[in-house]
Amino acid sequence: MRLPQFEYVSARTLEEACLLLSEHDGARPLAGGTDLLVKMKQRRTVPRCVVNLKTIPGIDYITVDEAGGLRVGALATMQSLKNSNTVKRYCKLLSEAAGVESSVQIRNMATLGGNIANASPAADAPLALIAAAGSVVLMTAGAEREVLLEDFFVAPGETVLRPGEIIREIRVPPLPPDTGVAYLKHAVRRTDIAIVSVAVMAVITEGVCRSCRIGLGSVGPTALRARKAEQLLTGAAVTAELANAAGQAAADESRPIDDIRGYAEYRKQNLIDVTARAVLTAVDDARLRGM
Amino acid sequence: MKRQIRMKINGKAYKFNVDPWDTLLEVLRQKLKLVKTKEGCGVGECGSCAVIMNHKAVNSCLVLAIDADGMEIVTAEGLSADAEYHPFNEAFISQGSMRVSQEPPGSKTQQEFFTFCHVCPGHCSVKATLEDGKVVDILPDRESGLPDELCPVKKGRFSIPEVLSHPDRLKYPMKRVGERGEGKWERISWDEALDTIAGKLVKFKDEYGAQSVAFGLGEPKGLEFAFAQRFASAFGTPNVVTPGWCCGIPSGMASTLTYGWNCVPDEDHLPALMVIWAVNNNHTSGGMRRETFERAIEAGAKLVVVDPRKIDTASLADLWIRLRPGSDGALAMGLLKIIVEENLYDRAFVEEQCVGFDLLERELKTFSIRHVEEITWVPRKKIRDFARLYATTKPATIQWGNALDTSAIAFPGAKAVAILRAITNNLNIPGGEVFLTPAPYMRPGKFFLLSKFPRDAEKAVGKEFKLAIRSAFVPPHSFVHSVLTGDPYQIKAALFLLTDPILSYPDSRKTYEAFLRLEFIVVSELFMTPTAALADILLPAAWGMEHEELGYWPGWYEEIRAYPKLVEPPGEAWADTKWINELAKRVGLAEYFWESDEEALDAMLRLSGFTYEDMKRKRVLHSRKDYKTVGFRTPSGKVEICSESAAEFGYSPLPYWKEVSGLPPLTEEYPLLMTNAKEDVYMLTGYKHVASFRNMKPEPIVAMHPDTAYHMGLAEGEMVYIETNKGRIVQRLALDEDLDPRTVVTSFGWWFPEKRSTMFDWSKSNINVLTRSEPPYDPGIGTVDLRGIPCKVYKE
Repeated sequence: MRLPQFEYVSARTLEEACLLLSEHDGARPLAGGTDLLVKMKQRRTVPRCVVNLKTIPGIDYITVDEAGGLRVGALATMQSLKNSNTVKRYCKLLSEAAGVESSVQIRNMATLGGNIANASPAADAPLALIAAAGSVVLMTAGAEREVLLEDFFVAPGETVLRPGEIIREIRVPPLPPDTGVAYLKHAVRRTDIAIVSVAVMAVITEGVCRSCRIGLGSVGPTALRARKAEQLLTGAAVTAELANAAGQAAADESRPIDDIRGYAEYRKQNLIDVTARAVLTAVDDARLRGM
Repeated sequence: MKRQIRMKINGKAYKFNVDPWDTLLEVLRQKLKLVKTKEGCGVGECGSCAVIMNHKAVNSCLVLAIDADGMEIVTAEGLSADAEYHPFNEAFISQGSMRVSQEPPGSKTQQEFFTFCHVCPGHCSVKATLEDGKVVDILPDRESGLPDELCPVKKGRFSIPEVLSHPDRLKYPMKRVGERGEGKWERISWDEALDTIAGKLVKFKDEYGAQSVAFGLGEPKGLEFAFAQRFASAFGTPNVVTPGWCCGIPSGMASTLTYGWNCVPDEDHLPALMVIWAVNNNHTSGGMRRETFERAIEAGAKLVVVDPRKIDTASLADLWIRLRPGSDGALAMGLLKIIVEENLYDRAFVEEQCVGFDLLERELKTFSIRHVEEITWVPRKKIRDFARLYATTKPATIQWGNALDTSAIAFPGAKAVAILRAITNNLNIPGGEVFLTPAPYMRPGKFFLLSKFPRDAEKAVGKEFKLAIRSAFVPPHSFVHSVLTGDPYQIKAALFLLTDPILSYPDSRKTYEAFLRLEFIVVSELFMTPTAALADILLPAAWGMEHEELGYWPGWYEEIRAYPKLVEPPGEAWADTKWINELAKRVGLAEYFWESDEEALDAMLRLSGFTYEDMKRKRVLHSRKDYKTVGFRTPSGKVEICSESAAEFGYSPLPYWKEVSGLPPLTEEYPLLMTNAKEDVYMLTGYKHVASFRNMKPEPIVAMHPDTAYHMGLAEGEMVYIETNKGRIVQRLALDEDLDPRTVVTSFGWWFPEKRSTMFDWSKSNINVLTRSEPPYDPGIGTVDLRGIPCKVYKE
């Protein structure tokens, strides 16, 4: 299938990209293209203009700030996240999620910024970032704002991005001590689109959960936080029984639909198990100090 | 709009002028003919277009050429002389993301079995990988030397593991307990199911005769088709609907009546010219395999592609003939005219080996090339170039495809193509098209017991279609007509095996009505489908790899292959051969069947001296070719350009211009022509449940020229109605500037398994809502126009 025809402009700076996007009605920013070009080939979106961001230098970095937080440029590829020791050390959740996001050919092109902006409720990296309390720095020609990932998504394919606004950077705050994480995905293939996915970040001291964040993927219109499950775990000694109860709570909070990958009922049922396993894996991870 | 880019490809520097929407893949394949980089899904799932860009593997289908400016590209050609065994390809296969398992590769004990992919008629040789008793991957078999190049979209590799363990597979026999189609079922035992079916069949036979029971069969997979045909013969009903009426038989019979056999491109000797006519064999399947095509292109063979769409091969072609859908016969007559009148045919062969050439010469004088141009929409110069190139390049081969079988004038059209082969002396020569002597196994017709129980044409619905009945089927519209009108009598009951008539028969609304009217319906299926939903008794079928199986289809290879059982079927699913065998015992036909259906496997092979156990090791029995150019299997022993025996089936003895040029006119009301093609991703109407397929092609797409869309006020990407005088459907609009502005290409076979509450939206996007079941019919077979149908396209 050939692509539909479109006007193509390249931006050399972030500011220029924002200007081009606001000048051209219906323009879409193009980063790795592994989602946008697919939707265009399938004619699910037919933009008149495409603004190429890949010509903007210097925004594919992976660094750590003074506070020990991870900072990733919007154009960093998924494969660079997977391969990065910095990401592995400062946000293991993101490293794991990036590693199971599609094939190597896709990961070599796909960018973290694009993956987030695509706003799929099944995406791996954005879900990991929700659990890791990550945020995105959004910019327009004149201003910049930072939004928590969990507040960023509105609906499938819809975000709080305003016209002419793009993602510049992704930030993950430093991990508290005794943090354990887990990223589990239930899919037909290891790197397929998730049927159910769960990301957990929990602070566990002496077997007691001090705080935790649980993200649920593919069970709602956006990736969700399982707040009831989090409440259940916070302050409690985590046992297999409690993990199951958390799984049940997560299933109750989820809002899955029937689609070709799985029925809503199946997803709910599966979510109980995947959540429970993810919680126990995170507890183990904390005990082993992320090793 | 075009911009200049520079790339270093396989070490050489290139400059190209590209449009922004050109992909890197299109540049590599079309501008440089680097044919080892293939377009599969086109959306990044299959990896067939992978190249190395600046030292990283990427999918070239998702890289804009403009974005590859300044990059260094390595394709398979640049990797090594034989990239198939290069470590990159090895890694690509073993580490690729297609294994159906959560565990990393190599972390579990694996078993490997050699078999054949059973998803389409290509039957590529594959290696199935099992873990924990489950098929987790299907890889090309690179060890046996058999044709193993999987389709670029990797249909089998994606679908086989998913279908084998799909949660929606039918697992138990069920009987309907609510209204027909209401979706209320009760699980029953196989005994109850078979007793019920046997009771009904015997009752109908006693009251109304055996012909009141019909069968509907899908494309043959293993021996289930042959078992059902055998059952029908022994039971005494001639009313078996098969896909033959629009697939293989019209062109095959035109071949047979002209020179005695069907023929296929010779794959052992490369042609100097390939004509790819009405088939997209690089993406789907056909007599010429992808590896042969690729070898021929690399060896410098010329290529002509006849297709309304600029399919993959067309973009590689020296000459692309963009014809009006359905005008193939007129085009072939035009070619004949030029070749004959310019004396480009093989005079010696024609004089010694052909009869009726003088009549053809006379017929070719009745029209002009200008007429051909008007009918086919192909410029005169191109028709001449094609004729001269074909007649003067030796050896030349024509690979023809299904689109030649799907019209009421399929037979004369195909006959004209058959004559082209003959008078240019390309028949049965190395590098041309060859007749195959079948491998030594029981011929399907013998297995069907056709000589013991000849099909009684007088008792058949559609008895006027003599060639159909001689080929052991009746056309679907005759069946539907009988059910709806009682003319010539009423078919009361029907059994359907792995077929989806609601989608695949023409005139879907009538077919649906007929299903509501039938007194008793049995469906054997893998999944719930629009047809299965209307059954009274629903039987769960075991699929390929779930039972021991021999396959002789597709007939054009004349081979037989073993498909060993690798996994257990789900629940209580049975092979169709098994339940037919058991049913035969219950209706008093035990003597024509076996104690166990698996004994038939040995019976099928007896001629060869092998048992099925031997075959599991041997895997395939090949056909033979002799390259004899004398002694044709026709009444005269020669090539019958004029075939008197064709008259027996209602055909004219040679193709007449009046016949092949009689196409439906475009009108003010229906100014466009609807056609369709085999889906690259799916297999006909099947496998819409497979999630990875739906990732690749989530929805039905209708394509038209941008100017046409502009004039009709339609925008790319919106849902549009396509309407004929039979009804209307909706598909998503894509623009394609390579189409003729009058041609509209729709997607075939669409339904939506996730729409459980609305009968899977069977009529929403299904193009057979638009096709007709009324005359004109092909006189011998009953084929109606399934392509080239006047239509209009609009939005609400």
